[in-house]
Amino acid sequence: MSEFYNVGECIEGAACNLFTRKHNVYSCLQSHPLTGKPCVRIEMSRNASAEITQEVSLDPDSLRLRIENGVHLSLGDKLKADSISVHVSQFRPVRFIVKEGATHTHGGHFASTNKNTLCSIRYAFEHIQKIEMKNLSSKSLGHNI
Amino acid sequence: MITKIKMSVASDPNVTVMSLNSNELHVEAVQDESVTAFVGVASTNTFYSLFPTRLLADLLIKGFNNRTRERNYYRLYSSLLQGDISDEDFDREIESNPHRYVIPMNGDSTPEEISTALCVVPRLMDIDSTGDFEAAFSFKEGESEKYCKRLSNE
Repeated sequence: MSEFYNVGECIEGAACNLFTRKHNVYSCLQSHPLTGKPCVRIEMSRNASAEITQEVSLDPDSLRLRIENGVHLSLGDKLKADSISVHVSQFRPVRFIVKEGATHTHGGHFASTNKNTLCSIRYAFEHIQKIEMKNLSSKSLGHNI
Repeated sequence: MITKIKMSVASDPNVTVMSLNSNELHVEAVQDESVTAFVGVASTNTFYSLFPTRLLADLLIKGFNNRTRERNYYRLYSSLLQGDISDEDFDREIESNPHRYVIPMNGDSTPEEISTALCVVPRLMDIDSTGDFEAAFSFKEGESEKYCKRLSNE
């Protein structure tokens, strides 16, 4: 039961609670990062968090794969970050409930999943773009496309 | 833009000699079916703009097909919500035709691909997050972070 804040940290549970101030409503179906099976992806940003509410039971091979990838699996493990990717092993979009004043200042979006859910902390996209801009300007190539 | 291409045939009928000219590019080339040898001079921007073309086309084709997969998925979901198909039909259709609905995220990507994609993203609609970016071009999850770390270490 720990909290994680660093880029790359990952949790997985059979059920998770999700909170975000902003999320991408139009989630899409994509292959699962670990299993390759179809799952729904959601992007959460601005004070996002995800917490395991039910532990996932895994066969030994699957468990080894999670351990190799540093996935946290304990009940109560929680991610807190400005950018979190969520993969839920279902075909339908996840429904979020909006609560006004959830953070005392802003509204928030809440959801609970009841299928296998993998959450990981990501770099904010603006950050990646800034690094690339810095890289291009240092090379002074112009890269006109 | 190349304004003038002059072609002539060498003594070997399988070999073509070309001269490509524009305001910012002058190239002399000799080519057969498998190899092109060339020399030339170009402005730096023009020189670098020549090479990402094929890479960019491949990325944009991948991106277009992934947007089509998203469209197919929401069309199917819309049919489910309208009651045109049952829950079982919805699941069965995705399971039997995943290539039509599921964005593949298992492709290996090179730093050049990620860099080219980052250059073109500001001109594409609604790519606001790292996950959107990777899904648009089928980059494996975490490739963007690896790319940034690689740049930071250089």
